[in-house]
Formats: sequence, C-alpha cells, structure tokens
Amino acid sequence: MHARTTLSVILALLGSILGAGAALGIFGTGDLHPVNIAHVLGVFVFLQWVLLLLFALAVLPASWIHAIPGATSLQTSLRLLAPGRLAMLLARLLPQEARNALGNAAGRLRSFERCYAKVRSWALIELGQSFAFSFQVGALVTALALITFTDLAFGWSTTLDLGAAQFHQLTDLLATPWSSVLPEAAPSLALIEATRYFHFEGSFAEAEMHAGGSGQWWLFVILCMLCYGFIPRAMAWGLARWRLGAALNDAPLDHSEFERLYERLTEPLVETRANRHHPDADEANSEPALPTSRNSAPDRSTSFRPAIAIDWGGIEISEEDLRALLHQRFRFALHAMLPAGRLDLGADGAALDAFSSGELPVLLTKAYEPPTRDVLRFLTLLRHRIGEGKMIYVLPLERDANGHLAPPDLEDFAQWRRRLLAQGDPWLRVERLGEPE
Amino acid sequence: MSAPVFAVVGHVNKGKSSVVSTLTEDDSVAISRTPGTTTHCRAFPMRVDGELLFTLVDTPGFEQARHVLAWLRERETSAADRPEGVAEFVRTHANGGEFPEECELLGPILEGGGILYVVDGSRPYSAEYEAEMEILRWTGQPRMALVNRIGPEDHVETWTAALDQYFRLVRCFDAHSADPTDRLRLLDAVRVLHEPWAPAVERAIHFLEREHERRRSHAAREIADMITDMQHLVAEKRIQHTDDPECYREELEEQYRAQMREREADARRAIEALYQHLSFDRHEAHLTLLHEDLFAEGTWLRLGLGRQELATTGALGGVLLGGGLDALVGGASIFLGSLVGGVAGGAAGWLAKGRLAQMKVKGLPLGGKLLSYGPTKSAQLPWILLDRALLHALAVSQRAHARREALSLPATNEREGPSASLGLDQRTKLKLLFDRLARKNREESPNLRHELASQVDRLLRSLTEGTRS
Repeated sequence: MHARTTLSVILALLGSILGAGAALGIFGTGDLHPVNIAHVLGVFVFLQWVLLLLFALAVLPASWIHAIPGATSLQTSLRLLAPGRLAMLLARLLPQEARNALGNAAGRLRSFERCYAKVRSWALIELGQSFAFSFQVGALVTALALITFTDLAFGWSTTLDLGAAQFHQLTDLLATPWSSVLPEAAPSLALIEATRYFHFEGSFAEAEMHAGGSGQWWLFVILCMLCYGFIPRAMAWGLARWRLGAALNDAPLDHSEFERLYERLTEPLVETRANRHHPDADEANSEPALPTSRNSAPDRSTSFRPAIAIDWGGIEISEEDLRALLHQRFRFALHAMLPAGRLDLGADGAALDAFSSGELPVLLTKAYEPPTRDVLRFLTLLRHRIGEGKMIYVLPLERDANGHLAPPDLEDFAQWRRRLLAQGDPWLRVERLGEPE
Repeated sequence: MSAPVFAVVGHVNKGKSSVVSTLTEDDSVAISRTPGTTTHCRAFPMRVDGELLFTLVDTPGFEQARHVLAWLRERETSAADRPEGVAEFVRTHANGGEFPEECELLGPILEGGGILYVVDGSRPYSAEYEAEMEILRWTGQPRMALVNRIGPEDHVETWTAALDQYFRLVRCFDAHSADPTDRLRLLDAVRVLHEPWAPAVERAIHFLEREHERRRSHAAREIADMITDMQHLVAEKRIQHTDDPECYREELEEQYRAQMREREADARRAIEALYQHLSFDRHEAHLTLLHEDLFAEGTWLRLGLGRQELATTGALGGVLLGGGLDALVGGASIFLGSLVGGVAGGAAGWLAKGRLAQMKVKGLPLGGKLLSYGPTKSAQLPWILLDRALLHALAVSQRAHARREALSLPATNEREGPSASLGLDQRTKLKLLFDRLARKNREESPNLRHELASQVDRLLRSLTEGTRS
C-alpha cells in the first residue's frame, strides 16, 4: 500500500508537471505571435478525446468489445506494445541466477493473475487515470495563471484552407455545452474573422485588431479545457477507482498462500515442549517414524476431506503410514494411493483418470530429486483434469539413514518451492513435513 | 580420424558439471544445486601445443526421459534403426521447445561422441533412470557410467548392478575429492572405451602426467624463490637526522612483516595459478592452519622445528661446517672445528628461534638516517615458510576443481608441519642450504636456489605419494 501511495504521488506530480509544461508550451508564446487556438484545441480537446477513446477501449467489457468491429484487434495491438514485453527480451541477456529469480517472480505474478487479473488491471488503469487527471489539473492551472497574470493575445492560424465561417461552426459545436448559459464564452463570427493570424505576415487578418479583442477567446479556451479535458478525465478516474473497489471486493481468497496464512492466524498455537532440552533426551527418544509439524492444526473444515495420493517415482511409503500422515497433518481421508512417474506412462494416465469425484490430489515426490519438466508436465495435466480453483498439494519427502521419513533438506525443499512457484498456479501448495524452519 | 568427443550426460543435479570441472581443471564451470544450471552444451577441448587430443562436453540434464523413450518406442522398427530413431527425434523436436534438454544433450552423441553417464551413488537406485539409460543405449555409441558421490550415503553396489547391464564400463569417481591420480585413472578407463580413440587418450594421459610433474617442479621453484627472497628481505625507512630511530622500530617491523606476508601471498597465488585454481573463495577462508597469519603464535607453535630439533640440526650443521674447516687444514685442528662448530651451531639453533631481525641505523651522506630492518636472523623462519608452502602446494595440487568452498586444512594442536617429520639427514641438508642462502646475496645464489628447489620438489613428491597411500 505504501509503495502504491508513493507511486500515485509520483505519478500525480509528474502529470501536473507535464500538464503545466504543455500549457506553457501552448500558451507561453511570448511576444512572437498570439496563442494559436488551433493548437489549444488540438492538444487540450482533440488529443484528449483520442486518449479517452483508447481508455474506453481498455475498460470496455469483453462482450462489448466483440460487438465493435475492429475493437478486439486494436485492443490486442495495444497489448503488444506493452513495455512488459521488452523486459522479457532483455531478460535473456541476464545471467542464469537473475533469469531464475525473474522467472520465479513472473510465476508468482502469473499465479496472482489467475486470481486477481481484474484487480491488477483496474489498479493499473486507476494509476494511469490519476496521472492523466493530474495532467489536466496542471494544464488548467497554468493556463489560468498565464491568462490572469500575463497579457495573452489569442488568434487562430492553420495551413488548411479553412474559412472563418467554417472555423465558427467548429467553435459553435464545441461551445454547445455552455453557450446557452454563457453566450459570451462562444466566440462570434466577427471575433473569428478578426483574429485570424497569418504567420508569414506576422499580423492579424484585420490590422486594427487589438490585443484586448483577441483576449476575448480566453473564456472559450478555459471552458474547452474544462469540458473536454478536466471533467471527462475526472470521471474516468472516478470510474477506475470505483471498478478497482469492486474488483477488490470480488477477488477470491482461495489462493494457496492465503490458505496457509489463514490457518496460521485462525488456529491456536499449541505448545507443550519444555523450555530446556533434557540432557538424556537424544538417547531416550527414538526417531519418530512420521514427523509432525509443530502446528499440526486441522484444516478449516471440520470433516476429513477425501484425497488421492500420487506416488511420483516410488517413494516407498506404505499406504498405512501415508494415511496416518495425511490424516494428522491435513485432515485428509486417503481414498487411494496411485503410482505415477514410472517408466510406464500409462500409470500417469490412470492416476489422472482417478480424479472424478472431487478428491484432493496429493503428489508425493522425492525431495532430493529436483523438479523436472516431467513432473511439471504432469502437474499441468492434473490441473486440466481437476480444473481451476482446486488445491493440489505437493509433498517432497526424504528418508533418513534408517529409512524413516525425515524433513527434507531445506535447499531441496526451496528448489521445489521455487520451481513450482514459477508455474504461476495459485492453487499449488508445497508443504515441508517435519519441524518448521 | 578426428579427436574423440565425450559427452558427460545424466539426470539433473547428479554432478555432471562437477565431473567436468574436475576433469578439465576448470573452476569456472557453473555448479549449483539449482536444477537446470547448464542449459546448453559447453565443450572443453584438451589441447597440447594447439593439437586437439579430445573434447569433453558438459550437457544439460535429462528432464523428460520417459516421454522421449515412449516417443522412440512408438516409432521403433528394429534394433539396427534405433540410432536413426534418436536422430529423427532430435530433428523433429530441435526447434519445437518441447524437449530442449534432451535435444541439446543428444547433439554431441549423435555427432559421434562417446558417453560418460553420471549418477549419484549416494542416493538409492530407482527404475526411472532406466529410461535415460535405454535412450543412451539406443544411440549405439560407446558408453561408460560414472558413479559420483554427492552425499554421505552409499548405494554404489545397487547402482553398479544396474549400470553394468547398460554400460561397457562402470567406474566410481568422486568429483569433489578426486586427485590428479584419480583423474588419470579415469582417463585410462576412458581410453579402452573405443579402440580408435585409444591413441589420442593415451597421448593425453602422457602429456597430463608430464604436466603434473612440470607443475610440481615449478611450484618447488616458486617456494625456493620465496624462501630466498624472504631471507634477504629488508624493510627501509628514511628519517630526519634529529629523529629518534627507536620511535620507528615498531612501524618498521610491521612494514617488514607486511612485505613478508605479501611475498608469501604472491607465491601462493602463483602456485594456485599453476594448478588452474583461479576462483578460490578467499573472503570466507576459515582461520585454519593454512590461512593463519604467518606470524601468528599458532603458526610458530605448530609448524617449523621444535627447539630440540633446531638445536640438533644446528649442531649437525655446525659439525659439518666445522668439519669442512678441519678438512681444509688437513686435520691439524684435531677436529676442533667440528667441535666448536657443533656447539656454536647448536647454541645458535637454540637461541635464534625467537629473533626475527634487527634494526640498523645508517647515516646518509646528504643528511638524515636510513633505518633498515632485516634480513632475518631467525633460524625458525625458513622452516615455517617451507612448511606453510609445502602444505599449501599439497592442498592446491590435490584439490578437485569442482570444489567451491575455501581452501583449508583441518587444524590440530600438534606440530604438524612436514619438516618436523623429516629425517635428520634431510633436515641438515636443508639447514645448510638456508644458511648459505642467507649469507649470499640474492643475485649470487642461483645454484643454491636451484638446489633448494630440487629438495622442495623431492619433498612435494614424497608428500603427494604419502597422501595417496
């Protein structure tokens, strides 16, 4: 949140500065020539409408986009220009460790994307609109300041073969929202005819045109900036904030990391161990066959959830031991234990086909065997089989010298976590059995 | 016939890159527990005077062997067509991205390379490796298996029983503890993998053996040069005529010690470079015997000679010198020279242990004074230097290039330098050499340095043979 606020402030400042700069550029012509109304309309009216149109394309629901001819292609084209794509190309130049770290970060973002795509989109749009709104504020304030504290002369000049009457039609059209309330803010034909400016000659069309007369344009200019820049942008920003709030309210909470956090926060921490280690404990205590986590708290549900374990590569754990382990640690009721990851690929298929009644998959792997494309491919197929939103548990297991199950090596476990995180699956949960770190 | 190529292949994280690093003596090979560190094949050619003898290729690990084997079996026609089947697999998937690791690692094999298949003998054997072994068998190329040991457990027997069915040769090779002899032994096994490759590998073994000898003698010369330089080392400082020299004694002594440390460090770096150890993690070096300061109390307690040994060696040296005098006068001194020499030498050995050097003051013609500290008077210092240098050279020469941790030796509380276990005869020879080197100028003693280098070379050889036995 702090980072986001900081980013908002920076963008607002940047927008204001750019807006002020644009206004200075357009209005601050000095004594060389009058402020060209065509420039004002071009930058602060027509350009703003183009940008607002693009904004509308970005925020329109998919169903509406499809109804507009060419809109989908345009939306796709705009996405191709996203700066993020350049980052992927540049990442290839980085050393292996940096690429791995980026891959993990990208996977993490992808996992959130599947859950929180809308939140991310609206958050970015909201930031963009705050920048755009700040631009409008900066431009408007600067224009008002220049109009108030300097002597601006307005004129209009264009290379196009545009007569005063045609220009008057345009200004009349633009002044429609306020002409009935503030008629003086709609330029008259006489003013338009008098304030046409020729750069080559360096003079107004009518030689007798005085600065005070040319200054009559100021109210029209300010109202154009308000009506066609400031107000629409404020509305766009408001819309983005409203949609962001709605997306946050609708965001699902069944992400694996949330689930883990929720358990930790909601379940009581039960501690019964002595404060000091008994000197004879090592000799007296035998190695437990099934280590348990200190916080072996039951799952959120009060009943046992059905689970199917997949023994990847031959862990050599008996079904009985596994049943007890899953029962104690996760409150799972083991329905079956199936082999996979063997020479016979058919076993993989049979394991996938077993998931038909909503059982939770628990993949048992050898912790010391690093995660390969083979197991990742299987996890992808498993996800397709059981669908989105269902948790898949991965338990890397290790055996000690006596053949008992033991907590996996921290680095081995970290490897599994990193590689699976890079998959971008938010419902993939890797658990380390044994003493917590 | 082109030079043989050997592809080092295997499952991910089984030590392929460690094996390559050790065999090629290249500690720049990226070794990490993160799987997929090696993504592309990297060739390590062995050349002698520009002539290519053989090439080792580090490859990415198998990641989807089961699926590759299933693909091959679906299209199998006969055993004779299997190599072509593997080639067809690579052609089909080379640019597809589905099997990037397998396409990459099979490349050098399909180009005619031999196979060195690496497994981790510290982990239990499991049937899923059979897909990899079967694929390699399909290539039809000469192949051998290396049982590496990454962890403490030992499952070598079960591995060997399985590997024997797929590979012509099976050898144990611990990439992290292999010394030069182990590497040569492995190459000797590789030599018999395929008859046409034998001459090239034999030549490579021959040159590598010579290279080891050359390195040892160069290391000995480095050590001899270092000891000689240190014995002649003098630290100097100019001061004003009115300054009290005593005020500068401590500073000058520290300058002297710093120069000594720097000289020793130079020699160490030169020896490490000789053995191609260029990436030591020096910042995390533990304070073991090897990395203790040259002037630390522990160094002087545990290395060099004890008082008694110094005295005995000094006495014998004195006797020999005195005996030389007696011989010069034709025995007219009734061996008084030997007696006096022996007593003087023994006393000098006993007394000179603690004194490093003396400070001298000399007036300068144009004003001011020149303070000088050194050269050393310590009888113990050359032995300390010799012990440290021998231990360091031995550790470096025996160290496998796959290791990434700091160079160290286990510390003990006993006197453990090599010189303490030398015979009296050898100690006396060295003592005389040290004394003669100390008396002569640096430029006047090339023969003495050469002789010292020979002695050090002999010591290194016997130490190396001692560690192997």
